[in-house]
Amino acid sequence: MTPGGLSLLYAPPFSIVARFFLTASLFGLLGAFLGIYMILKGSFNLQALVHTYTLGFMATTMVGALFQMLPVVAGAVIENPLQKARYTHIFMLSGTLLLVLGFLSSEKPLMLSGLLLLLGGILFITPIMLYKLLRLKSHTPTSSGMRYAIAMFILGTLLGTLLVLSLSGEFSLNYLLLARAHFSVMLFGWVGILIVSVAFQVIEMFFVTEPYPKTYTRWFHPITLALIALSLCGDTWILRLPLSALFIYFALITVLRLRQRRRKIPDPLVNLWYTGMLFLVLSMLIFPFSEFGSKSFLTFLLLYGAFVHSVILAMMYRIIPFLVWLHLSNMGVPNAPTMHEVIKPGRVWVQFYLHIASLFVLFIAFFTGFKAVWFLCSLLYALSFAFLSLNLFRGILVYFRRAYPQGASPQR
Amino acid sequence: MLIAQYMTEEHRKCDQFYADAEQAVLKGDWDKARELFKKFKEKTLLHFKKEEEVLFPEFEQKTGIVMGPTQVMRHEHNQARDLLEKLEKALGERNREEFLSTGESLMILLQQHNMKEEQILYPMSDQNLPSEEMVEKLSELGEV
Repeated sequence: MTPGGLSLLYAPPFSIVARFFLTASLFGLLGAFLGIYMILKGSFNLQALVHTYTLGFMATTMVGALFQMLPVVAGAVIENPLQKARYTHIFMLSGTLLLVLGFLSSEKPLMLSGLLLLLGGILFITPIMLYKLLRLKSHTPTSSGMRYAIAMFILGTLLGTLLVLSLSGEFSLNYLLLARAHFSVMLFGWVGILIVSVAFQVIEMFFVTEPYPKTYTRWFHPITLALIALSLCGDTWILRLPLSALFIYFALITVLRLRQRRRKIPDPLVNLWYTGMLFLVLSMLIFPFSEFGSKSFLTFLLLYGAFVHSVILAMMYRIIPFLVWLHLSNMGVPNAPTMHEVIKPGRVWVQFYLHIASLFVLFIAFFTGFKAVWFLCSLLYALSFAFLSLNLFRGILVYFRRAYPQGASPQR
Repeated sequence: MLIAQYMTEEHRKCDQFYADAEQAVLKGDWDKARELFKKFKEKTLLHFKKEEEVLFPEFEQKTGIVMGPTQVMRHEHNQARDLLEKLEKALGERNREEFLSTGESLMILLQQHNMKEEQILYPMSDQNLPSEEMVEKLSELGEV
C-alpha cells in the first residue's frame, strides 16, 4: 500500500487543476469564435475545429484531472507536480494554438512548430504518469484504466504526429488508415477508456450509487483495446459493432445506477451524465455504419463530442467546488466555503440548459445546413463556454481570496 | 464475518440515513429532518468511534504503521465532524441552502473516505488481524 496515495490530504496544489480547467473552458470559447469566423469567411476547416475541442478542451481537461487523480484516486504520487504541470500546461497550450493556426492557414512551419510544442508537453508528462501507474503494486479498475488510457494517448499522439508530418509533405503514408487509427485510438482508447474508468469510481462516489459490476470493470479495458484493434482490421460495420455494444452497455449500466442512486435530490450534474449517456448511445448506434469521412461519420463525431462535453461539464462542476472546500479546509481556513457557496447550483442549472440548447441547435444546423442556424449555434456555444469560464473563474477566485486574504503570493 | 464486510455495511447504512434526512429537508419537513439527521449523526459518530477506539489502534499495533493511513483517516473524521456541526446549525436555523451545500461537501468527503477504507484499509485489517474477534469487539460498542 502507498499511504501517500491514500488521501486527498496529498492532493496536489489547487492551481494545477484550476489552470488546466480554466484553459480548457477558454479553448471551448475559442472554438465557438472559430466557428463564427469560418461561417463569416465561408470556409470550413474540420481539422482546426476538431482539434480546438479535442486537444484544447478535452485533452487539457483530462491531463489536468489526471494530475489530481493520479495521487488521490490511484495512489501514484508525482513529485514536484506544480513544476511539471506548469511546463506541460504551457507546452500544450501553445502547441494546440499553433497547430490549430497551422491547420487553418495550411502553413507548414506553424503546423510543425505546434506539433513539436505539443509533443514537448504530452510526451513529457504522459510517460511519467504511465511509469508511476505501472509501478503500483495493486490496481483498482480506475487506476488500471488510467494506464490503458494514457498508453493509448501516447500511441494516438504518435499516430497524430505521423499524420501531421504526412500532411506537411515530409513523407507519404496510407493517410486514411492512419487517420482511422488515430481517431479510434484517441476517441475510444484515450477519451473513452479514461471516462469509463473514472466513472467506475466517481459515479458511486459523487451520487452514492451501487458500484459497477466487478466482472465488467475488470475486463472493460483489455476488451476495449482488443475491440479497437478489431475495428481497425477493415472498414466494415461488423468489425465496429462489438466496440459499440461495449460502450452502449456502459451507458446503460451508468443510467441504471444513477436512477437507483440513494440521494434522490434533483441535481443538474446527474442530468448532465444522463445527457452524456444518451449521446454516447446515439453515437455508438451510428458508429458501426459510418464510413470514415462520410456524413454519417461526421454525425458520429458530433454525437460522441456531445457525450464527452456533457461528462466533462459534470466533472468540472463537481471537482472545482469540492477542491476549493477541501484545500481551504486542509489549510485550516475557518468556515471554509462549502460546495454551493463556491458555485451556486442555480448557475449549474443555467449551464445545463445552455448546454442542451446549444446541442439542440447544433444538430438542427447540422441536418438543415442553414448558415443562419450555424451562426446561432456558434453564438450559443460561445455563450455556454463563456458562462463555464466565468463560473470556473469565480470558483477559483473564491479559493485564492480565502487562502491568501492579504494578497500574499499564491504558490498553490 | 470479515471486518471489511461488517464495516462496509455500516457505510451503506449511514449513506441511507443521510439520504433520508436530505430528502426531508428538500420537502421542508424540518421536524422529520431533525429526527433523521440526529440518527445519521449518531450512527456516523458511532462508526468513527469504532474505528478510532478499536480498529485503528489494533491495526497500528499489529502493522507498526502509525503515521500512515490511520492518521489520514482520523484527520478526515475530524473534517467530517466539523461539517456535521455545520449541518446541525443549518438545520436549527432551517437554512435549506446551507444544509444542502454542506451536505454535498460532507457526502463527497465521506464517499472518497469510505472508498479508501473499503478498498485498502479494511482488506489490510482482515489480512493482519483476527477478523471474527475484531468484529465481535467492534459490535460491543453498539450497532449502526
